[in-house]
Amino acid sequence: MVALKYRHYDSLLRGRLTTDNDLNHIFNYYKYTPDRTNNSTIFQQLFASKRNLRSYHGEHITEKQFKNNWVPNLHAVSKLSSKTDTTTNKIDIASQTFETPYQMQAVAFLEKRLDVAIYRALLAPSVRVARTIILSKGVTVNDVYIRDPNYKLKPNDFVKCDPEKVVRYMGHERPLINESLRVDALQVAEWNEELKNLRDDPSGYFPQFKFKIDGLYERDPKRVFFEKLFAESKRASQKAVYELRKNNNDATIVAKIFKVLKNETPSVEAFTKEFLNDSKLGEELFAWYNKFLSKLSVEKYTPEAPTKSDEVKLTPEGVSENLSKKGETETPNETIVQDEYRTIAANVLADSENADVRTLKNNLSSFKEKYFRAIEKDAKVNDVNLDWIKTLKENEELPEDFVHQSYEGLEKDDIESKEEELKEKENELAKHINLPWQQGHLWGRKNPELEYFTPWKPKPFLGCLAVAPFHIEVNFRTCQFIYLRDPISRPGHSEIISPYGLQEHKNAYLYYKARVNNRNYNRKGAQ
Amino acid sequence: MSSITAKRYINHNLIKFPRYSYAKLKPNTIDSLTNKPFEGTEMDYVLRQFTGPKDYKGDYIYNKYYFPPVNNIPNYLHADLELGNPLRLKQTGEVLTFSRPETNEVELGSIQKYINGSPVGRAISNESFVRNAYYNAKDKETQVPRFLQPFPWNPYCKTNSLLSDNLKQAIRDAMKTGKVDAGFISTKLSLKVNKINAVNRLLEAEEDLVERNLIDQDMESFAETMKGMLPVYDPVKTHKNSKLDAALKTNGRDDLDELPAFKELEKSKFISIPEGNTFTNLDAANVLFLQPADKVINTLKAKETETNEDENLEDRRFILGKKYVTDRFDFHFVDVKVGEVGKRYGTGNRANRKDKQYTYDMNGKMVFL
Repeated sequence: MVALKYRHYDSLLRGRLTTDNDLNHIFNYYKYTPDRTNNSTIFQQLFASKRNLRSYHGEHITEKQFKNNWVPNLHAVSKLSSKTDTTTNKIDIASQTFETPYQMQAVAFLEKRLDVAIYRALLAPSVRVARTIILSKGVTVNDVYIRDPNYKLKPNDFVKCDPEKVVRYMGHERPLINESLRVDALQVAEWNEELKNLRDDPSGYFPQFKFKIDGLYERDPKRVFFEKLFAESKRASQKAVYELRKNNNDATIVAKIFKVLKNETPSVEAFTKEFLNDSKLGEELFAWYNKFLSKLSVEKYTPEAPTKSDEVKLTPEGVSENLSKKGETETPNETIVQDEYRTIAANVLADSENADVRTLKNNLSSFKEKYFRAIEKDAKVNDVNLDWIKTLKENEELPEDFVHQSYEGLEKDDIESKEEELKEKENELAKHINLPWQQGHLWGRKNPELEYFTPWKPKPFLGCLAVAPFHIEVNFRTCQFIYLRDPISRPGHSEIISPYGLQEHKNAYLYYKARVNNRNYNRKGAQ
Repeated sequence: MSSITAKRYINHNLIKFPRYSYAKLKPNTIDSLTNKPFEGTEMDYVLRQFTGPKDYKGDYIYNKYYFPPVNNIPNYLHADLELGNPLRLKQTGEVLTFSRPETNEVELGSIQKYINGSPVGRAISNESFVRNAYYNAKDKETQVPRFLQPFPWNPYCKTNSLLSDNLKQAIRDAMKTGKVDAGFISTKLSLKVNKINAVNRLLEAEEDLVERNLIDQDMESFAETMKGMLPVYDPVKTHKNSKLDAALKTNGRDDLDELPAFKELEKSKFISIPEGNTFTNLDAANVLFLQPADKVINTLKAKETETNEDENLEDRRFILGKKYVTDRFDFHFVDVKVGEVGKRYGTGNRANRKDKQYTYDMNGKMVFL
């Protein structure tokens, strides 16, 4: 969108750093290194710095305009009680003295301009776009439409930008209908295949599917849709694990141990079988058995006659034991047997006089953590909640209009006429799209009247040059901002945003100081 | 692309080739997509190595700068830390190389410098190496953390932090009731009064728009993404990473102790005096060209009395002179300079001058005075 006169603006060879967000400019920033000035004269150095600086600061205004407005006074602030304030000679090496970048203030007069302020407030991707927003009657200052990009802002000026224009220029461009038909055909084919795989082999294909989703942009509609489903299923499985942990207290563990001691000959295998087939847990318990468990007699703690109560206890304690043998049907006898062991465990834990019981109690806490970890591992393998697959539907087969027809080699008028033909059919074609995250509209054309990608998608490389300003307070939700003050410099920091270092600014300052005769400034004097 | 026809005018010193290593365009390379010779210059070839291949939606999915970050930590360009390779597999953070852009295929690879066949330095095989350097580095001159510094060659420039939504709302609520002064809030939060008033005004305007349902879904998602890619200042919340937290805690707030300073005044503020000499406040006043307090108070008092007398004059809009005994009439004419009063005939308006004064009328149109 730059005139032919300024075609060097995009040049990759010259590599100018500009106030623009397009791909070529981003790449120029990426590969930038300062000029080599070893063999050049002082004038060459000054001129090179000035030339570089002008590509970023006021690139869109002429050199004459720039010189007429250039002012040599340099504003700065210093701290009330700082080390930098008390000495100019760096005698004390340990103290940190930051240089004040005064010379960066030489381009501060540009920051008052309305177009530059809109760019600084991150409401336009470049200064040139900010100008077009202003000229198309999209900006008010203190509730008055201003159509002059050169309008000088004063402190506490309230600027409102047209949100539709801001969102348009900061967003991705709207695709042609032909292009979105091509993408939709591919999207639908991809989704149908994914869903088929998910139905055929849910737990087998799920990791692959999740890996695919993780590769998408965080705010992509597809990713947003599926991450919500994943979160819900994860919450369900977490809840189950939490309940398991809650129900496995000391008493149940002891009950399990005594079940083995009573029924079987205690060995490593017997313990591992009881404790989730985890051999490490079994080995540890067998070591306990050799040390002190063998001294505890089972008969001492057994109740004399198991009380047969009418109310069959379906307490959650039974859940953990039933989990390992899921397929088996539950019989009333089992619950009674379990009930017996639970009473045994209660009796054991109550017997605090016995030294062996005390050692058992001491060891239980560390054992419990290992046991919980085993439970979680076991639960994760068994319980990946994939019920949401049943709720999703395949997209129907698309008609022949979706077959891609390339526009390559066509002229501009032909492309426009073809697009108009497609535009008449767009609403009908959109009815065929029934993806879970995109229903009833073509890709990027939810609202085809708007000139940007809908639902909104950010412009490429938007985050690379986004710098929040110190001298402007922005509200992105309403696309409004308040100009707080003119930018200043302080020791070690300049509020002027510039990609060039201090040395370049010093050179450019020297260049303009000798050449500019600002009549306006001379008449009024220092401000 | 710029078209340079005459080769003799090229200054090769000024052409900005990247300083990092990259694959060069060989003659007779054939583009696998079109099956034709590669169209484009050497720089285009390097550019495609930077972007990586497109996916079917037209996005450069492997480039880590393509989409803005969502975790409130800015992702500024740092070619020096990653040796000029920005391509990553997003899920694992593995480094990818795109050394042959004409084939549209990426390869897994680690970057390492080789000198005389032996590797030099640490290989970057994973994004975590780069990220650690990006988070932890600080500039030597200005102590600005690298992740707040948008341009690697200017350590004096850094990004501000946005005030968090909760903090803004708290300011708005406090100001809305009218009980709390903006000055009081500024000292509490160490933000300038100007800024707090601005936050209040902006939120007031926002409430008005919300009432009228003028904020649509696209504006919301725009605001979310813009907030997501800039750092946030919240005095209450803490970041998980302690180093980042320390940098973010100091970044968003203003320094209320600052004084305006000029370069010309920097040296004249200090004066050296022999040890034996006495230096009273009167001497200090002389050095700084200030009057002693007694005189200042007297002049202020005199001014007060003057202003009291003159208060009614503005209402009457004319001045009564003293009538002397010798005066024959109540009214008489006084000589004044033309130009100071009224318009002198013949003066030019200098319509073509550069510093012409102008204002804007109610329609925002520029009007010359």
